[in-house]
Amino acid sequence: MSSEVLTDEKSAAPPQPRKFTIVPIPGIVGAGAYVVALVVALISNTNWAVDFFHVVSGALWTGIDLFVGFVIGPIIGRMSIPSRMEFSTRFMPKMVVIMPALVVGTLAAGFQLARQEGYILSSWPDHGWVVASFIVVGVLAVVAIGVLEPANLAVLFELRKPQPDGELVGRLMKRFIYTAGITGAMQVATLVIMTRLATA
Amino acid sequence: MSTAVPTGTFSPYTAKRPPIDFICQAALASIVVAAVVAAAQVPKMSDTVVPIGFATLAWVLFLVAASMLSRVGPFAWGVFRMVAFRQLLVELVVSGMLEFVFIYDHTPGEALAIFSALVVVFCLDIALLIAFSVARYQDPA
Repeated sequence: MSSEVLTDEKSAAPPQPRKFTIVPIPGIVGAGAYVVALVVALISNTNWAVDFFHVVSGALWTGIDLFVGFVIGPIIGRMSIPSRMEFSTRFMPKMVVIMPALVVGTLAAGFQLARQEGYILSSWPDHGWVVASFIVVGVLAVVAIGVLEPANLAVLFELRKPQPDGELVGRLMKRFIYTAGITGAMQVATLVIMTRLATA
Repeated sequence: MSTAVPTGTFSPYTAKRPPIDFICQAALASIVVAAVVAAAQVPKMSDTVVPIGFATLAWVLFLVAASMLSRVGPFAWGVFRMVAFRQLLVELVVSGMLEFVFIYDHTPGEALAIFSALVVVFCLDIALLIAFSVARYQDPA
């Protein structure tokens, strides 16, 4: 186990636990409002409202994934450990709330849109593209929910300790680097599939 | 620079844990395969063997992972319960939305039954995976 400690070693005072909220309350309110609006759109069953939520949620999901993976991620990787911690304690709690709301908006509205347009039917001529989108979403779900979210929360809990274990945080954060390529490829595939479906 | 590892006889950082997280991830992958194969056949489910097979596999893997908790050793059960409960609430909202759409869109009965079984195991599996991943590095006290 590494002896690296993520605290200010020059400080004479005993290390204090960092104070930050893992799941911010205002974020929950915002995400809750987004989900309520989504439910209203789904119940209204109007093509525009459902399409709006699918496109907006999906575009933000893809955009944030690519931006974080290929722009923010490498920048964080070059920051000093205290700066990285400072950034993570402010950035990650927001992601914990934003991403699930966007994912559920994309998937729920997408399923209903596919039903409205008939894409979901196996008899539809370009059904193969829809199945390809299922596979892409499936891979993204396994990576995001099965690999990244547990690491994200474990890191946040670790950072709240008076003396976080630097090696553990580093090891967990490496998952984001290892999966950035997969996530990026899947999101680019999503863009190809969705533009193909929209012009079919 | 001092060490971050607790100096007591037990350290959550070095404790050997059963592979609950890997089994939960395998269950999640099985759920995804079952859902993709089932969704690809809507409205007529010409092949139910593959989705039902993977759904069953997902349930078995989840139950194996859950049973492994009993031999996890010293563990931060308080943190585990707190995270599992809150994660379950999140997954209930997410899964509830998806289930709502399936029912609202008159998804055929056979597909709906498979989706529903997958949604339930998805909620439980994710709650277990995330709660275990967090609690394993916390002090049992």
